[in-house]
Amino acid sequence: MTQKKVIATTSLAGCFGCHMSLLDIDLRLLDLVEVVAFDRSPLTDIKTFTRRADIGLIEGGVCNDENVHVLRLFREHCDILVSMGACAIMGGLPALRNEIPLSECLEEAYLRVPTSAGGSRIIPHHPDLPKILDRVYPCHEIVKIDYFLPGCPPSAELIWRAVTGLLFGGADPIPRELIRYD
Amino acid sequence: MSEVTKVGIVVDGRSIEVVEGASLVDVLRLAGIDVPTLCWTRDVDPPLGTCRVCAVRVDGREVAACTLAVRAGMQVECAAPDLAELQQGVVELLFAEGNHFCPACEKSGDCELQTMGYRMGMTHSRFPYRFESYSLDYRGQRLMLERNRCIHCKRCTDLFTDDEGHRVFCFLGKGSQTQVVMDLEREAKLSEHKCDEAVALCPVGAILRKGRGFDRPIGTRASDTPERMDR
Amino acid sequence: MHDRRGELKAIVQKFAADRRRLIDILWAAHEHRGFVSTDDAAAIAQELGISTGHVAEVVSFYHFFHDRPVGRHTIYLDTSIIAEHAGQGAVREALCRELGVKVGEVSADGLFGLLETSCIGMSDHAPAALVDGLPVPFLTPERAVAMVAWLRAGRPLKDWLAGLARGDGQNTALGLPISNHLRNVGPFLFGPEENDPPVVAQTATADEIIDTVTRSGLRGRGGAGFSTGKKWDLCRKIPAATRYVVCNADEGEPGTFKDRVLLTETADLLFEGMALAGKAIGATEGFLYLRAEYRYLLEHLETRRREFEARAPLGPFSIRIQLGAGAYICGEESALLESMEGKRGEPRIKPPFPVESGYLGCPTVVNNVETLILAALIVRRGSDAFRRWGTERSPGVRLLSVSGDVEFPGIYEIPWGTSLGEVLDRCGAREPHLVQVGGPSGEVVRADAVERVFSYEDLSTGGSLMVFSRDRDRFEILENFSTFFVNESCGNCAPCRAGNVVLRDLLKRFKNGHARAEDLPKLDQWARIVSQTSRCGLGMTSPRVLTTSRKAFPELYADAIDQKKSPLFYDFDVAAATAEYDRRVEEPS
Repeated sequence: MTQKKVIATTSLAGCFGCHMSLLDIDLRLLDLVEVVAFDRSPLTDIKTFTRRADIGLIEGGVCNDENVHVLRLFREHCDILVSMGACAIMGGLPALRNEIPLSECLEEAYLRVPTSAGGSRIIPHHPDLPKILDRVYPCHEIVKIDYFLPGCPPSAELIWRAVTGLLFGGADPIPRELIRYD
Repeated sequence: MSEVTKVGIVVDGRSIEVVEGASLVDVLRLAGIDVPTLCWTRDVDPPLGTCRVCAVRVDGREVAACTLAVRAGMQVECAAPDLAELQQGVVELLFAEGNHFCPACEKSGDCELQTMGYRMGMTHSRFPYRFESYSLDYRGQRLMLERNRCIHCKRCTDLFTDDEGHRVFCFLGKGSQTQVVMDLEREAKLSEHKCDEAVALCPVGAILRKGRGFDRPIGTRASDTPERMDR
Repeated sequence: MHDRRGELKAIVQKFAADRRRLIDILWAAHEHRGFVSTDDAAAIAQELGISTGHVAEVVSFYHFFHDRPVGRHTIYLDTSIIAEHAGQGAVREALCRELGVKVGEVSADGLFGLLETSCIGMSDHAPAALVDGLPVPFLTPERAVAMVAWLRAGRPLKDWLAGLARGDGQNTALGLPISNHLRNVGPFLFGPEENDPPVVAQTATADEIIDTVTRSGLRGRGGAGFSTGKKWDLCRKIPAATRYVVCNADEGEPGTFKDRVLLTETADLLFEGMALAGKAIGATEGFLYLRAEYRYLLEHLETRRREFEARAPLGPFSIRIQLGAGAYICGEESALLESMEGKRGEPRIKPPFPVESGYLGCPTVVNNVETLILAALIVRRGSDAFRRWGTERSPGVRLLSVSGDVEFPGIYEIPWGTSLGEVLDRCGAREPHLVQVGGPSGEVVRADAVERVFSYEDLSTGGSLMVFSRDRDRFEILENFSTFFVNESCGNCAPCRAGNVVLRDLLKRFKNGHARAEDLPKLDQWARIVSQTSRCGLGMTSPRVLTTSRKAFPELYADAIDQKKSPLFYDFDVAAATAEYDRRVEEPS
């Protein structure tokens, strides 16, 4: 039996919608797991890389220092790195905050909202908590990204074509007619 | 009307007969060559010529096809890969300049900029996304301006007038600081029909009707089926 | 209560409620109050029968128009690289400190506005500023502070300027402490006039004029180099009842100031050239579009103009001086025409060219100041007198405005065909390394390429020559140029508006040491997208900052890339990106 190809996935500043879309390949998942093993991924709940991956799928942009760390780990452990979805590609909806200074965002989110705990005057911070970056960064501003799958989320069809195409060859892993930005 | 004169031009090595003085964009489309355009709308003279997406080569020089009237003997190149590169480059510049969050846009699926990206197979902009701060103007009675999405095509500033023939939209500032603004007094007097016309004229989701959101169900929008995307 | 409304109404009436005179109307409205408020714009619009937006968009387009107060005294610091190298930074700091403002702000007492603007045509007096429209040369922090004190005391700026140390060749005609710095006079333009016929024969026919100018081989001095005789001939052959002559005195290319000197020294010849062009094409009306930065020349020019019109040596020809309002793009001829028609200076779609459809849709010849003066001299002296100089394909002479790291900045008249080395020697270049020929839109040249010659075939220049010595940071120079284009792009077309920002940022990556090997090919690829798709000459030439500098100094870019850097992991400073968060959470709320 030939060695299974290895996939790793992660969601940085994303909503897991891209992962949901990945699961939307439905029964083809069964075909996929015949030839592919998922290593580090929220789908397997494997938290650290156990081996080198052929392909890493990154959902979400980079909004905190932990995201930077994870993204760099993925770059280190994956042969091919793919930005999956609008957030990974250009920050997506989280990047709507990029036009607003971070302090203003923090104050609005934690101090001024009516739902903040009574008398709470604290912006959460703790050595165990990630630090928020000044803005949300596209993944390809932090590490080299090899392929981009646009969409919010990218359709299951596009993810399927891209993953199988990049792992096993075949024509045009990112066919033009499957490109959507919403 | 003056008489129609036919002249010969050469497009990608093919000789064709065309009406002298016609817009090169029209002529190319008639010949079955779908040169991409964004700011262009039919029968506007002089053309807006602002987006520059319709880059072709005429007699060895790159030009915006929409700005050119055909003359006898023109040698036109459309198919060269370096031209597609220019066209896509300009579209990518627009995506990097504005804040185009398609998933959150009311015009998504019916947006001409987005459609252009699809047609060109653009997965992302090669240029760094700028995340500039562009303001919204929701002071209008029925229209609002979402400047994050404006591509400065000038359709609204140059082609749109109210019933009295006055301009309602104009540009303030210049260069990368240019922003579209709306004459609030005139906007307040626009008819329902005129408001819809302004929204339809905008190729992107920058001019919107207030109180109206995502009114086209997914599946019925222009880009939901590949066939409908090709005009 | 001051009747602003009545005042504006009177201004509009003075210009016969002609919307095409909007620039003049706005100047007059600024005259009284220093700015045009939203209400003012609405009032002007109403008097003119146009929408308020139309007025507002024109106000917002030009550097010298404002929609809010900019101080009783407005200081515009020249941001050209020549000014920066000459110490503008220290002047800026001193003024900020003295006035308690940042650039772009007005002092608390409302007395001073501190603003910046692109090159003001004073690179031979760097660093300089425009204060209330007057040029203040050779600024130092001390001098700037002294000027502020003088103005605070309510004394006239002109008196203070009169007391400044006088330079060589002091121009007393203007009553200003600026010099014409004519370093090299002759052989043709500033040559001896004694042998000239007093003025061109009134009998010269249009055919003869065009024939002489065409045979002289004179080509436009604005940069594009189109044959002047041919242009005139094309224009007169377009059937029309009315034609116009426009002199483009919107000299905005950083580093150039020759038109300032020509307008001061040879205004009569210029008007003669305009009248000749008028005679050649069949126009009886001409316009001199004067850049707002040279507003202080207006009085002098008006005097000369009146004298010329009274003499009418070539028959009746009227000239109006149209003041611009601060926009580099208006040096582009069709943008200039738009501005003359009271609009934003956005370049038109070409064709049609101005010779077919120019001012108010009429066939119009637009010529550079130097071109028209040369034309006048050529008709006086004959085409052979001009062709004696220069080369076969680049006949005659041209003026260079030399600035930067040289002993003798100023105006040099050279025959075409003169070598770069000769000019560098003559101007006393100090350890020259990088030479910018033709301004930011021109070409970056290595100073050791001494054999290169000024000509339409080689160093085809609009006249600006900036010399930079070995100790200057080349990326700083290039970034200044690139920023200039970002600031001066009119915003009409996508590639120029968005592309110049992208090119500037790419350059900064090299400057700041963040460039990667993959960025090298982008220099040419991205430049190509902007240059080949832009609507007008600005965007077509602005990428040359990157492309010509890379060609001249490939090692500059190559050395800026740290080859040891991983191609997979990009520079990203987590500490810097989280600094704001750290600061905010440590703040007691």
